[in-house]
Amino acid sequence: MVFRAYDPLELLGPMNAVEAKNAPKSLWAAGDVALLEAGSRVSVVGSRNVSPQGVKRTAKLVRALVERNMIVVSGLAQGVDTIAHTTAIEAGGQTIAVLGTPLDTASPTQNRDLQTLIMREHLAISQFEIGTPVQRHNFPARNRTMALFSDATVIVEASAKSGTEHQAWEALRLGRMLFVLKSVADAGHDWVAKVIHYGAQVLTDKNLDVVLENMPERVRAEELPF
Amino acid sequence: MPKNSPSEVEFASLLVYSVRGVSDVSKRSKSRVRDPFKRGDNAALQLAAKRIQENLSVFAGYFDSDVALVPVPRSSPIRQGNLWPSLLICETLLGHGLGGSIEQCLVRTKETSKAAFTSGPRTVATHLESLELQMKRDLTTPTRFLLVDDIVTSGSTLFAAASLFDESDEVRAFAVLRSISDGEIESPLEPVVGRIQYRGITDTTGRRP
Repeated sequence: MVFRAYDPLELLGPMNAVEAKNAPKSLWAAGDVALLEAGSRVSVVGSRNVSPQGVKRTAKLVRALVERNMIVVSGLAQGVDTIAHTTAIEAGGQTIAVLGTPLDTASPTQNRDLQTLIMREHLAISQFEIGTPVQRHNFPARNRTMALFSDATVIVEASAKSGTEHQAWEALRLGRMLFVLKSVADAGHDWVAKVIHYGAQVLTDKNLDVVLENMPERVRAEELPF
Repeated sequence: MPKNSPSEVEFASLLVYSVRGVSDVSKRSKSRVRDPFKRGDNAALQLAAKRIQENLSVFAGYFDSDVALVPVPRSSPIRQGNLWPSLLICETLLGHGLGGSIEQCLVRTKETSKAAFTSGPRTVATHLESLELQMKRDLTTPTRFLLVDDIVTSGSTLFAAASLFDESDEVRAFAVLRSISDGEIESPLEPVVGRIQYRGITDTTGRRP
């Protein structure tokens, strides 16, 4: 497996000041970096201890994203992340894993095969150099990086104290679209109510199509048609 | 409560995009014209400022040196340090000698639903309940204001914001993009000056063009 180091600008293109603030100084990638030019990238994130309903909701959303040729981004953690990646692959779509570990380390270890598959046929990205110890604070940093790589973030299940919260706030800070499923909004967690106050939209069966039609895309300067 | 009750507000826009158009140009107008401004893309901002300069005859008076640019808040409150596309637009315009100053005097105090995800037009009252004008006036306070937004849809946000200013102020609006809900566009570059008109019966606004 080839792990290559990148300057973030090589993978993300020019950044505005808000984007540059929390951007990692270096990135390592394994897989097909051309995926970063392939369409809208939507993070699907949520609880590690996902409920049966959360599994169904995650799979349904991911299939809808793949049908529209969107790239499914997640963090390769247990629960929602794992369902998001595997459903995208099974549906014939493309997926990007943004890791909280160096590329040669799997966390959780039971996702090692999935990580290898993603590095071989899709794309895995890490801001942690090989040899960096895996520490708790890696994961909030990873979530902020995932927000940076994503045109939109959807939270499909969350708890009162959830690492997903870091990604939610970062998505809002970056001015990216942030969605919470109605079931998440109805759960009544304080931080979810706050992110809705600051601009997160509630995603329902009713508005799903409109939302997906309005997912933003990235454009290179030379493609601006005016 | 609004300080004045205009029946219409003059506005200008540089670009147009089609919400439901099916031609290649219309489809691209969403992904390659609308989306870069929503994410604060610097290349798009610089190019827009250049195009405004090239079309200044259309926008006569809008970007004079005694005009204060006023960024229009997003549909939700903004935390300090978060991306605010309208402020980025104002800063880019000022950097190109368009306008004379920036007044960050409009504040969104509570969230409203995004126009793109709302089935019908949002009422002016909805905006007035969530927008505040926070400006301490003195002898140096500008009296000519240009409300600056990334996108104008029905114009209800701009209309509500304009109505918060004093009657004696000159208040116009500029959006980099205007949307058309149906129909096709031939080119995204379409500098226009028009009007946002108040519809009292429904408390909504209509935009021409």
